[in-house]
Amino acid sequence: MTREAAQAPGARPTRSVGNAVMFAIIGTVVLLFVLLGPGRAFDTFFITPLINALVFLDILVFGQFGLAILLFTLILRIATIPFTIRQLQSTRAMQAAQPQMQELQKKYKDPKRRQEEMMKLYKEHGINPLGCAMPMVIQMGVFIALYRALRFVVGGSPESLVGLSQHLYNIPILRGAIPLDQHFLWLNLGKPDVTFVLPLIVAASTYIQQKMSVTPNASPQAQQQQQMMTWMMPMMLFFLTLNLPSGVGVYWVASNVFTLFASYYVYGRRALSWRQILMPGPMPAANPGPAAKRSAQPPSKQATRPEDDTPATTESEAGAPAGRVRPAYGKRRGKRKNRR
Amino acid sequence: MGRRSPQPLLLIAAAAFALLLIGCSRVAKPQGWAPPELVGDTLYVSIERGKMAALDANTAPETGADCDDAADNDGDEVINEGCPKAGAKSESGSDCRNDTSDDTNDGIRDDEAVNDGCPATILRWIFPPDTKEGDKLDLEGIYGAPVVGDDIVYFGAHDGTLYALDAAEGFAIWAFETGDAIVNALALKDGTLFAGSTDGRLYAIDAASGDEKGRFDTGSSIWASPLVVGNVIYVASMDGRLHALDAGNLQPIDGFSFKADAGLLMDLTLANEDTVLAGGLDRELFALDPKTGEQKWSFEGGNWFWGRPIVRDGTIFIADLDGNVNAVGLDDGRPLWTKPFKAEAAVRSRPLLAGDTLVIIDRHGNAYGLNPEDGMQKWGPTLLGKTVLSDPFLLVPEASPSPTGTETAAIEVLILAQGGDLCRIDPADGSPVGALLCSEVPS
Repeated sequence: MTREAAQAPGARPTRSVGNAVMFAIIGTVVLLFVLLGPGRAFDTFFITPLINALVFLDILVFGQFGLAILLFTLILRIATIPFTIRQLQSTRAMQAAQPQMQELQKKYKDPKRRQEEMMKLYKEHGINPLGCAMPMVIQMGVFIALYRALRFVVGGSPESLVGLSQHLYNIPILRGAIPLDQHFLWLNLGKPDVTFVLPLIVAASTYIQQKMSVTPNASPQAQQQQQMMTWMMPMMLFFLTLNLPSGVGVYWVASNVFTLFASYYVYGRRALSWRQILMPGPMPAANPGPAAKRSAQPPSKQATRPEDDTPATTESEAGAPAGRVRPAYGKRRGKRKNRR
Repeated sequence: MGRRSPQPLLLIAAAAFALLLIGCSRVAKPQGWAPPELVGDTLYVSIERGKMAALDANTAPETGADCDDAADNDGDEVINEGCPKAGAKSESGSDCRNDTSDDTNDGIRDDEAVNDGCPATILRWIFPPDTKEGDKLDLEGIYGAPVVGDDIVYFGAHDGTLYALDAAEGFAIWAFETGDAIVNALALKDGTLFAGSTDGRLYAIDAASGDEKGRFDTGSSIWASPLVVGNVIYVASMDGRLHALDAGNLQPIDGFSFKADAGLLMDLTLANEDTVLAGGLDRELFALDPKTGEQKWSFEGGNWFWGRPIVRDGTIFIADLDGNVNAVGLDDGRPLWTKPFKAEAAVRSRPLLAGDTLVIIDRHGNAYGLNPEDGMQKWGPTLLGKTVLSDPFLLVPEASPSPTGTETAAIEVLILAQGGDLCRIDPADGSPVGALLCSEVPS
């Protein structure tokens, strides 16, 4: 199959629209921040609407603020699912393109030329580096906004209620819900969980999510870095959750669970296997999931058998043994064949 | 050669983000805003987060014209203490703690003034004490003014406990735990303390022993201070209900009923014998019949009403959390000024009448002096540079100040800022009293 054929039909217009929307959002946000100043803009367009949305959701779920956070997470993640799917698909495409990327690294010593070739490869495989960054940016933005909102909504002190009065819209139904019940399961949503249970769940779910998004990389240095990230992120979030209101932790866990389902949708069941999760190294490229089976056939094939789509010329030019650039699972399959 | 990976940068960015989040934005802890209470020559005030202290009010420094002579004008055997240029140098910081006129702590007397330039008051005791045992006790924050009776200081804390301390020494006589935080002041009547808790219950406690005499469950949390009038205790809850109970057995009074659309947050206030004032989240100030709870009138503000109003000569002065200050007629609830005065920030603290000046302090620490007749600004803002949510307190010389804040011979206004600093301003022009506008109380 040629590289041109490997591109999913209709992928380019979709990506263009996606990029346009993304740039429009980023542009609008930047403009507002410049016009109003960062603090006021963040307050007016993020914190205040978020606070009111949370209070409204609390009313919908009969005063259970923990459920309101879960509902909020669900709505937000569904609203941003195109970004999430794009991120996962880009990751998968990145996994599939790893051998070729390795070859390009070896083949072109000139950084400019290498970059050009890399961009070509990205285009051919439908990889969108921005597509990877957007969900992370949204996640971080919501994380910070939610933390600040929770300080007012379930801050647990009269001072936080004074702060809430400055953010709550003048809508009678919202005022009637104040003060919100801070208790959910064993948690006080306005305070850190001192039982360590929530921080551990946050760390574990983040670890699993990290494992699923790790790109296989033949370079030992890059592998080591990825491994470090797989451990560092959960550890950092563990300590963060120990210091932040539990409500933020609840959001993070719910968000991770949603990502796991999205990953299953894109990667398939293999990505969620215990072996992959517990394996110390980076995860091998997964089998295509239901979404991949339905659409984007060429990239899925690449993910399954990347060596099939790698042009012979490229491989021979690089002069590298095919085994070195294969993803980890390809090596194992080869070994099994040998054993047989 | 392997591809140069962006992972280290990502890792550094993530670590920096985590550190920033941990370092700059921990969970906000309750700070407290209990206003001071003066009894005799002792000022009871929460000068640190979650700590109650007794300060010697007799060491109030000389001010104004008293600083212009070399006489002991206030009879405390110290000359010109607290004056900006008393002696060769004003004492400050740790020099304020030695109670001598040795400003530089070098064993030589520098001038005749002891603790000149130091804050107005000197610490007698602090609870919990600064000891290992005391450090184990975390009151979290104190929001209601202390109540003093029979040489015992009573107050509720955010840790949900009611404390009774010896007024002279500051040790705990008893403590009573409620189910949740106490964020309001107590009411004391005939040896019984009434405490409203955010667990939704009003507790009646024997003031001498700390034993529970009874409780009333409102079904919602209680944030406003209860009010005792005769044998009736009024308690407001965050479901918008106002309850009138028999103070003897905490049984609801027949025929009394009132419910607002949102939580009642403002401390209940008796405007006169025929009117109880209540207010809160629905931006309305309600004037109610104390016998039936029937609404006489309501006045709409710009935001929640939290600060207690003051009443003088048929006029109610009240501020809301949008910073609007209003004068309202007690009889009909009509605004008396042509337009409300607008402070820069939310006003949580109650207005204070000092002579012919209405003193307003907003949340950002801006102090304003208004003409109570028309709401026009006389002076200010005087920038305290601190967050202020506590009620200002009037300190009157040669007389016991009244919490009603209606004295005419005011000399200074004490303002307790968040963190425990005491600020002192002259209500006549908003100028600082003493060497410093705000200062930490030496402990």
